[in-house]
Amino acid sequence: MHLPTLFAFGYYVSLFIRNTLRNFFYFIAKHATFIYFLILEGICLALLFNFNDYQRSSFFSSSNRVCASVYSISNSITQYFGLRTENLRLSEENIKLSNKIDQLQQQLASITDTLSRKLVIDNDRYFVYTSGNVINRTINRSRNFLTADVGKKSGISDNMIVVDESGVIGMVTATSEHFCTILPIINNASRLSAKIKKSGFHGQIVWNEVSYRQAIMEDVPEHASVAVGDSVVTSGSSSYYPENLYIGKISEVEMDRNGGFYRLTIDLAVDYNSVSQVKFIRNKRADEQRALEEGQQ
Amino acid sequence: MTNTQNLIRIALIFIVSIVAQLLIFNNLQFLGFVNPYIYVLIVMTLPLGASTGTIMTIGFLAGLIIDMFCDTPGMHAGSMVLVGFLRQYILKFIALHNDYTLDAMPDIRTYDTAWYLKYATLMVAVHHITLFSLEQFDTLFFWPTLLRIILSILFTLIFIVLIQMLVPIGSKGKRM
Repeated sequence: MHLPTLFAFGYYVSLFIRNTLRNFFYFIAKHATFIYFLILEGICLALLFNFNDYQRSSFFSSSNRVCASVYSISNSITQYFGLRTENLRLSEENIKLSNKIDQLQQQLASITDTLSRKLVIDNDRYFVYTSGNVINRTINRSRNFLTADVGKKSGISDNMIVVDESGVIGMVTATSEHFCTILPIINNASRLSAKIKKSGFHGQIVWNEVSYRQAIMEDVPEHASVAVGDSVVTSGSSSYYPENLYIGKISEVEMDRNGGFYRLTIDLAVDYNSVSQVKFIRNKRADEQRALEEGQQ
Repeated sequence: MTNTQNLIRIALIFIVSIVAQLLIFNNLQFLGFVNPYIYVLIVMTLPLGASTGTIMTIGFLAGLIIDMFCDTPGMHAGSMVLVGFLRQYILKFIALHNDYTLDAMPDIRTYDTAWYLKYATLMVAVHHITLFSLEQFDTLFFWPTLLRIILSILFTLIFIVLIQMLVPIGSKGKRM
């Protein structure tokens, strides 16, 4: 091929590329607003669909430093409004505790030499960390969260179980130095295995997304004996939740739409609107159990 | 298009709406599940002449801040961006008022009440429907969700009007 043909060919190729690029930039310029709109919505949807990763990164959640300190200032003002009821509750708890001490001392005296073996095992398996304050809560969304004022510095870690004296509250999902976020039962992402205390039948607790005082217990088989007023407790089959933590009472019994299972409405023991002082529990052997179970699969 | 007075106004509305939303309106619970989201005001009161890009950026930032405090990834930001984008079409649809100027910031006193109520209802409805659909994302609880949407729109509108009765946040703008 001789040189002039090659130059001519090169010239036409460069013209073609230039025109294509120009058309491309015209297109971008013409639809700039719409493209910008798509980019912004893309960012939002990416955040939305990576919900779990997002929860883990404490930068974006309310346990990050700025958000948490704003909430803790606001809480330090609003907590004065609840002091009266809080005092009443504390003094009630004091009475209950001192009664319990008496009772336990009597028991201890009677069985000093043969301490119940179960008690020893339980103490060995679970840590209880006391005293955390809930400084922020939402109860009127589908995905509700609580924020508490204790974090990594106080030994709080992911997947710790949160309770107060009335029952189970939820699980820790994100921690920062001084704060943690709690996923309560009243969140549509929450799943919790439970059993009916009297008959021992197992089921799953999910939220009904209507009232923050109620949840639904699913997957209880048809032949189970169920009655309104029965207590529902954690089943202990999850590696994180200890057994026999109180969840609530059955308030309504109906059959599942597909048949074969009950759909039980539970009145939750915890009032998420007023929950304030909470305790954190960690299963020391959860990791060991998980590793073993995953190895089996 | 925007003068210094408007810029100060926009900044104040941005900050005050977000603080009020987080510390006051997120703690109001009507009937246990209705929550007014008054921070839509940020996008609603931007000057009529503001470009859609600017509106979307401001809406996105406001939504993101609310998201960080509420642990709702991208929900508020997404619905604010959509409202920002649709604002031009909503304004076209209900027709601009006869004596509008580009730097007018619409509130209930700027033009007549009927015009503003039409505008506010459409904006709030778009925002709430997007927000609650993103939050729910399945059809399992369709009727309760619809009830929540309608009641929330109603309460948000009531609060928006009440706020504007107390504080004149808009401006008529200067004739050019």
